[in-house]
Parts: sequence; structure tokens; C-alpha cells
Amino acid sequence: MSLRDRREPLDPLEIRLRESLKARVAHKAPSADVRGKLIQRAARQQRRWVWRLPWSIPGLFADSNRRPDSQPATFHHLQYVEALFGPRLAWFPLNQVLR
Amino acid sequence: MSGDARLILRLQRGDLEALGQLYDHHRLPVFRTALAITHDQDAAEDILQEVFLRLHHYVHRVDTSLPLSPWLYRITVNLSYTYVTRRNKWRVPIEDFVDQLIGPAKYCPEPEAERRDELRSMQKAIDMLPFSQRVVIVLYYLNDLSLREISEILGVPVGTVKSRLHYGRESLRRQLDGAAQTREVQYEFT
Repeated sequence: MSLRDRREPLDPLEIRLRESLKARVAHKAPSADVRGKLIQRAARQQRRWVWRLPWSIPGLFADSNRRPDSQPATFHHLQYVEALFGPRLAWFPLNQVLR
Repeated sequence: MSGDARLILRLQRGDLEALGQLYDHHRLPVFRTALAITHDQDAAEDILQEVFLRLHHYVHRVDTSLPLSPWLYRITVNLSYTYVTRRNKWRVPIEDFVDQLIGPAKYCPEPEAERRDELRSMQKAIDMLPFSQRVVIVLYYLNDLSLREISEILGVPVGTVKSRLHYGRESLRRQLDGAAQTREVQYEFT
């Protein structure tokens, strides 16, 4: 038997207490625009999680996607990689990172 | 698998419509719990929105084999705590201020006015309770949760919930007895 089932009958103070709490929230509901705002904020939150890498970056490390002329990346892509791993790999020459 | 669990799985895949449906299912208990604790409609709406944003943020950690309500109540209580502790102590809720302006129902001691007066005194007494006791009182008497459910939500033993409930009730009884005596004196002098 759960504790809820073993509840004792309420005394007059508890009855008034319950009435008072129910009266405080009776017929109260959040305004209709809360739902819309929530979905908007959640969508913004979701967008922030998505990694928006430049189109060529995923292909940088995958041999299968490497183009036949084997030109891996342009200079600004290297800068992007440096910014991504910068603090940890700053002392690494970039050509070794990409080897 | 429960309906909530299915919606949580959809939300884990990034389906925001599932978040909307979870909001529709649970918004009233969450909102009313926050409102009962904070006594502030705007704060309750902010807390409601924040609870579901956190659900969205931490949805990968939600265990779909367990009911969702206790998780939502826990976040609601935590956010309400933050609100109550940050709120300025001197701020008087607008309803109380209006009550003070129009005066209590002491000049019309009809049963209805007396009852309204009693409910108002009770609400004030609830607001005066320490946060830990107020939360237990709200979850037990408004949300009809069991002692065990409350203990799981708050992360405290059942005995602690029982004692908070007991001391909360005793504190209310003392405050209301004091208020009733004051009212009787007022009636005698009017």
C-alpha cells in the first residue's frame, strides 16, 4: 500500500489550507503566447548546437572524399582548423595536423 | 511505452512539435505549482517557460522508463527557489496592497466575507512559511502528491518531508490563531 493510500482524513485546518491553495490557482492559466515563445527559444537553442562547418572541412580528414588533385584545403580553411584546435595545438605545425 | 516517453524520444531527435505537445500536457500543473509557491503570475510564466527549455536542453538525460512529472516538479521547485530568494524582501504583492487600501472585511462580518478573509489570511500565512515548508505544503495539498513522491522530487528522506509538513502545519495553525484573535478584537471594537 502506498503512502498516498494511507493518508489520514484531513482536519479542518488542512481543509482550509487545501481550499486556500486551490483558490489561489483556480482558473489561472499561462497566457497563450508562452507556448510560441518557448518553441522559438527552443529552436534558437537547437540552432546553436548544430556545428556549421564549411562544406569542405568534413572532407578534409576523409580519404574517400579526397579529390583526385589532392589539394586538401585553401588557406582560410586552415585558419578555421587552427581556430578550432588553436589552444591545444598551437605549437604544432599545421602541415602535421593535416597529415 | 507511455505517451510522454514517445514524445521524449521524438524530442531527442530534435522534433520541436513534441516539445509543444509535452508543454500542452504538463503546463497547468507546472504553472500552478510555480504560482502557488511564488504568488506571482509573471514569475510563474517565466518559470514555466524555463522548465520546458531545460527539458529541451537536457532531454538526452531524461530516463524514458520513469514518469516525467517528478522531473518537471523538481525543476519547477528549483527555479521557484531561485526566484523567491532573489525577490526583494520589501516587495508587496499588488493584491495585498489593494487589500490594504480597501480595508479588510471587518465592517461586514457576513459569512461569505468572513470566509474570504480566512482564505486571505491563510494565503498570507503560507507566504510567510520558510521555502522548504511552503514547497512541501504546496506539493502535498495542492498537487496531491504522496510523501514518497515529494521525497523523490526534493531528494530528501521521507522523514524530512514528514517533519517539514508537520512544522509547516503547526506554524500555519499558530499564525492563523493569532490572526483570528486579532479579527475578534477588531469585530468587538467596530
